[in-house]
Order: sequence, then C-alpha cells, then structure tokens
Amino acid sequence: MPGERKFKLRRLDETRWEIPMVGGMRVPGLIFSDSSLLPDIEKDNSCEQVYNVAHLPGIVSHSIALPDIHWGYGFPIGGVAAFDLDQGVVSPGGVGYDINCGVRLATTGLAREDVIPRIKDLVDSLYSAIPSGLGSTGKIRLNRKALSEVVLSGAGWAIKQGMGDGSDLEHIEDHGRVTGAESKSISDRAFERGKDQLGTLGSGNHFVEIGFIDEIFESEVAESWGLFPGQVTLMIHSGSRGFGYQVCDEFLARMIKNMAKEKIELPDRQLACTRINSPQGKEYLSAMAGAANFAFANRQILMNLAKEVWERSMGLSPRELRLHLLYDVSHNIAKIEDHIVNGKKVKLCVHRKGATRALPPFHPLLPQRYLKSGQPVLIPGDMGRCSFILVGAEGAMSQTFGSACHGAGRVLSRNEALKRTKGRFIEQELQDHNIYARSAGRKTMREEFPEAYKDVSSVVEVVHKAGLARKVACIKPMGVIKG
Amino acid sequence: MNQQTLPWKLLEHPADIRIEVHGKNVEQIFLNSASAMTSIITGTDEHLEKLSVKNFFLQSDSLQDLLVDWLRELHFLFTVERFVFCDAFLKIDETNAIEARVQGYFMEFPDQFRDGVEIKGVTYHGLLFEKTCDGFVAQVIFDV
Repeated sequence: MPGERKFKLRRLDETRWEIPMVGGMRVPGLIFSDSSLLPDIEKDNSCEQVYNVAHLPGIVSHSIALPDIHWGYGFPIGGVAAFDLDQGVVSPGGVGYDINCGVRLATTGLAREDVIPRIKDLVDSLYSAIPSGLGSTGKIRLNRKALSEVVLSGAGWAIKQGMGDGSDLEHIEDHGRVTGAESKSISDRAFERGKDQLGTLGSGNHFVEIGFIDEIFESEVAESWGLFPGQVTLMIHSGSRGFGYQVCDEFLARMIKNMAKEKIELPDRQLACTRINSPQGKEYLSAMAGAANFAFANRQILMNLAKEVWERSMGLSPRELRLHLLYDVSHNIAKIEDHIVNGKKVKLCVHRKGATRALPPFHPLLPQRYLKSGQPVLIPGDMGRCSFILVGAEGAMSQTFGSACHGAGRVLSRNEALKRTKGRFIEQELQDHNIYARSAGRKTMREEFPEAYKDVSSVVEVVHKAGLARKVACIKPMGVIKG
Repeated sequence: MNQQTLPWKLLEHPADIRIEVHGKNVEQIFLNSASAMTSIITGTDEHLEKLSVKNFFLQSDSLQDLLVDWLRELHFLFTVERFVFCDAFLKIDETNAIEARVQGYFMEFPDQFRDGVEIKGVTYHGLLFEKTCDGFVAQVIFDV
C-alpha cells in the first residue's frame, strides 16, 4: 500500500509510471497503466512485487508490469522480466504454476445470425463433450512413454494423432513446441498428475467461448487475417493442467530449499530462483519446456474436439464450418530470445507471467503468414463484456521485450465476488445480454462474474496508446463454458 | 459454513486463496490446515464415514516448510488418487519431521465436488507460522 512503501511511483507519461531505483533494486520498475487503472493496481501488493523483482541478479533494463497487473506470488501477474544468460536467474515464480497457460483463437466461416438461434444447443453439446471442472479427466489416457512424446512434440503430437492439420503449427507460437524439453527433467509425480488430463479444460478462469467479431479497428490487418464483421469465433483458454502445476511446485520447492547455497539475497522468498546457466536452471527450463508442450497439445486437442462437436451439433461439414486457427499464444512462460539492449543484440531469458508475446512486423520469429502484419495478440476479457485481437507493434520490442498484456486482471477476490453476487443468478444475467453460459463448478459463475475483472477495454487502451500492440478487432461473447 | 466456529478462516487475496489457521499446538495447526484445504477443494465439510488409511513420512528444513510439504502431499493424493483427507494421527518432532497416518476416502465420481475449487499448488508466499499467547497461528496461500 502507498503509505508503507520503500519506493516512489513517478509518472513518465500518459501510459507509463516508473519506480526509480532505490535500495537493492538493480533496475527501475516500469508500470504501464493510466490514471483510471492505477488505483486498483495500488490497492494490492503488485507494485511492491515489481519493486521486488527489480532486485534479482542479472535483470536487464526494467522490472516491467503491464496494465492488467495484479498480486501474484513473488512475481506479479502481468509482469515481464528479462535476464542476462550469464549473470541472470530463472525463476518458476516468474512463469507461474500454470506453465504455458495461454489462449487460442479460431475463426469460422459462419456469421452471428447463423449461430445465435442454435447457441444453446451448441454450448450444451460443447459442455457435455469437453471435460471441465475440478476432478475432470480426459478420454486420452497415455502411458509414460506416450506422454513423453507429448512432452517432446507439443501440438505436433496431437496433429500426428489426427487432431488437426499440419498447417495449424504455423499459427501457434513457436510452432506449438518449445525446444529443449527432456522427459528426464520431469518427475514421475508430474507424469502421474498429468496422465489423464490431456484434453481437459480445467477450472476457474479457463473457458471455451463462442463469440463474434463486433468491431474492426484496423481493416487492412483484419482483412489479411480473414476477419469480417459478425464473424463467429472460437476462443480457448487453458494450460498445462496438473502436469505443469506439479513441475512448478517441485522446482519452486527445490529452489527455495537451495537459496542459501545460491547466495542470492531476496526481498521475498517466493522469488526463489537459480542461475540460468546452472544445472538446476537448465533442468528447470527443460521441464518447463515439456510442460509448455503439454499445454500446446492440450489446446490443440480441445480445439479439435470443439470443432467435431460443433460440426455435429449444427449439422455442418468441415468445409461449411471452415474453422481455422488464427493464432495460439502463451502467457505464462520463460523463453530464451534475442533482444537489442543498448544497441547490442543479446540473448536473454524473458519471463512472461500473465503477459503475451507481441512481435511486430518482420520479426524473424514470425510465421510467413504474419510477417507483413505482425503477430496476432489475443487478449480475453471477462465473460460478459468483450475480448480483443491486437497486432504486435514495434513499441513492444523497445519497451517490454516484445510483450503485451494477457487479459483483464482481477479486481475482486473470489471471496468478495461471492459476497457481492449472493442471491444473484449470473447465468440469467448473462442470458439477458444474449450470452448463454454453462459451468461445471457451482460457484464458478459467481467467482468469475464480469465485475470481478478490470474492464479489458481500458487495459487494451493502455497497450494500444503505449505502442505495444494495436487494436485490430473486438469480439463479443455469445456462449461460454467455464470449468 | 460458519467461519466463527471453525479453527480457520479465509483472508482476502485478489487472485488466490489465503487462509489463517489457529491451533493449540503444532499438530493441531497441521490438522486444521489440512481440513481447511480439504474444505476449499471439496467445497464441503461433510464427508463419508468409510475411511481408508495412508501412511507417509516427510522431513523439511523448518516447521513452516514442513507445513507446506504436508499440504502438498495431501494435495497430490487428492489430485492423483482422488483421496480426500478426513483426519490424521501425527507425530511431529524437533527435526521437522512428520510421521502421518491419514484417514480419508476416495472420491466416488468425477464431479462429486461441484462447490470445490481447484488448487494448482500450495505456495510459500506469505507463509506464516508463529507462536501466539494461546497456541499457534499459520497463514498459507493456495494458487488457484
């Protein structure tokens, strides 16, 4: 809270605030926000966490916070931190429990008026077919050997099993596979925890959403991506499930126990980390890559399942539905990337925890299709308002290591959300706005009700004004499944 | 659930779940923390009578870390074996080791706990374990 702080916040311009270096900070903090969002950011400990992250060895340039920032553990959610490979550290807390939690968006050949009369049946069919909620298990049960192949191959594994098309890989970050994964760096417990969770949605804020393009902001980019007003879309938000949670859990515990040996002083124990180039650092990055690949496979499977159910539910052929993957982004990950720092190209370990990569036009990591336009950046909002498609801009490379926000960010705790929605029937309220929603958990709708989140439009506006990514289109929901 | 009569309560946290647990002694803190986590995961305090037993041993560098390891073990048993904690006999010693004989039961069907919350992990964030004038208090945050 502001009164107890060891640091100050200094406004730089309309969308940026700095935490000047003080005490043990190695770099300044940089918070992307505006005057309307800042009060919520200051209410919890997220500014303190930006300050704490700035203490980590080898951190480069700034400890960064995007406008959807909120209190996480150790690192804030909505944070980006990049580290020098020789001097710097890697931290599981800077990635998050749900390794490669991310979003994918597919477009269809359908218009809103084609789907809205059948939305209830469609959502009910998807809800029945897609395993979601606490304790849910998938239909894909793999032994250790087969799961190891998923860990190595990512989305490619699912495609090899007939769940999707090879061309999908061109529309997934890193072609649906983070390199460097090795099964031997992943424990038996993680394999145990993940063995029946492939093809499951998860719970809480994970969702499958049928939406439509409500507004287009950049028609040239939208057209090049095949977007049109009223077009029906499919959005999936899910991650590495118990497999990734277990990987994070174990490496956090190991690193916390080893902190005395690391001789790294930390303002917060949950920033537990290890040198990137140490055996443990390399082991974590390898395990993290494996978990990331599990998540890429998971989202590929979920999309394929949704496609099959959709075609059946509406009596459409694949050619009539024309479901195509626009892009799949990760928002909890650490990547080794090339960046320009002080005019020199360097390799850095970029941690994005609740942050999405946003590559500008002609970036070498872009697939051919997006080379001219830049990368699609997918920003889901809450289930009542809207989500956004943006395009990566050059400002991201110079300010945030090629990153943008990942969503809206919570403003109410789950407890507070339950208190405020007591006696309310959120499903009916959504239906009154032509949104049909189902959830596995009985409390989920109330915990996840729209006002529990920041207005994503405000968050995206900051990203747009700051030049990190530009608005291309806005999507409104028609049908939602939550876990 | 009546928060005033229970030995644990929810504290505010914007994104995750934070609990505060009270107990007369260390063993009670461990038991009450386990009950709290189970209550959150299952969404209920009503559990089956039929009990199975699991035995395990853990050792950590501190009592605080042992508490996290204890909850982690129970959480793993729930997520992988669908084993629901009910009660336990515990021996905790000065080497920060715990011998646990845990009583519980196995979930009967996948969506048995529709009021429950999926916990991703038991974190070290904001971890507290202190002596008070009438026993002990602990605080734990679960990532959800």
